[in-house]
Amino acid sequence: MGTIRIVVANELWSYRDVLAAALSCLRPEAQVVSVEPDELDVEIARLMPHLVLCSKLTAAVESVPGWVVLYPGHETRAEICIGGERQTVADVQFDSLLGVVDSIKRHTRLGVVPSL
Amino acid sequence: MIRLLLVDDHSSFRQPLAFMLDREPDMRVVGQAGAVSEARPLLGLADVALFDLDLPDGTGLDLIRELRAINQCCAALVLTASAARRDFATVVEAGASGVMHKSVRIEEIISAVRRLHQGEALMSARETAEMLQLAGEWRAEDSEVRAALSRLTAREREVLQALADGLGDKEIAARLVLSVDTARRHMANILGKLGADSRLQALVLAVRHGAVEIR
Repeated sequence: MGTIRIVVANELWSYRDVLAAALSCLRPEAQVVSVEPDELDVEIARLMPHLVLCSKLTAAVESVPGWVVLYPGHETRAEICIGGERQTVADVQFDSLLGVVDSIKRHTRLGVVPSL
Repeated sequence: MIRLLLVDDHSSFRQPLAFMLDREPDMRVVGQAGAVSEARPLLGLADVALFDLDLPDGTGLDLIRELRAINQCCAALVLTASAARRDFATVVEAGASGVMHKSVRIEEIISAVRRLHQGEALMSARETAEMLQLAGEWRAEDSEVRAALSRLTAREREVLQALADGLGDKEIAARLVLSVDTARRHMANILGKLGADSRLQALVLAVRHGAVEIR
């Protein structure tokens, strides 16, 4: 089974630090990399992640199979996209983020686009 | 064992933070809340409480004051996305033992929790005194501006709101059915009462104190 690559680039350092650390612990098969938000587009081109967690949507982020824009402008909501299907969640729970990781993992393994 | 309470409405930050803190051998998260009302019943359980400031039904400041009243032994640590010194000072004045910007790393949060539990201060006495002085000055300035705003007449408030809506003298006069000279006179009175040097400064004061809305 291949490794999935997750890039975490949330604006607030504590957010990306905590998310990257917890994801690494709970999904040890995933390769989790924390990057500065300003460097996200470059890192996407370099690392070709399967999933991006960030605070702002860019064209580069949209090119990734899965992404979660978490708390844009510090609002308590998230935009989630898996394989092109988008959803807005009012107060996303961490379990749901783990669910996104698992969906992306299935997507990568099976080569299909999972639904949310 | 350090018993921890985490209060933050960003669940996807709070929950993994709780998970990571729980992995520390000397820490146990005894409660989590995403709102003031959820946190209230948990205030008596913790040795160290981590509070966000912006909560959906109030602020972390409310909780710090309540905590001080019911659980003197619990240290309050504020984690905030605000970088404003004013917010930091207000937090210290409310009785928090520490305040950190959310740009810190998790190791710094863990270290701060341990230090607070051991009775150490995160800020020097001088920093704390400075914060308390700033908070006092801002509170005094705040009440002066509020008093000045309360001296504005109803018409002057309408003029100020029109200014906030981006209108110029002619447009303000047209909206309020005044002559342009009268609109200008109202504006001069507003600046005089607020002690403002410019319309922009008057507008900033009015917006900050909720006297007008930016629509």
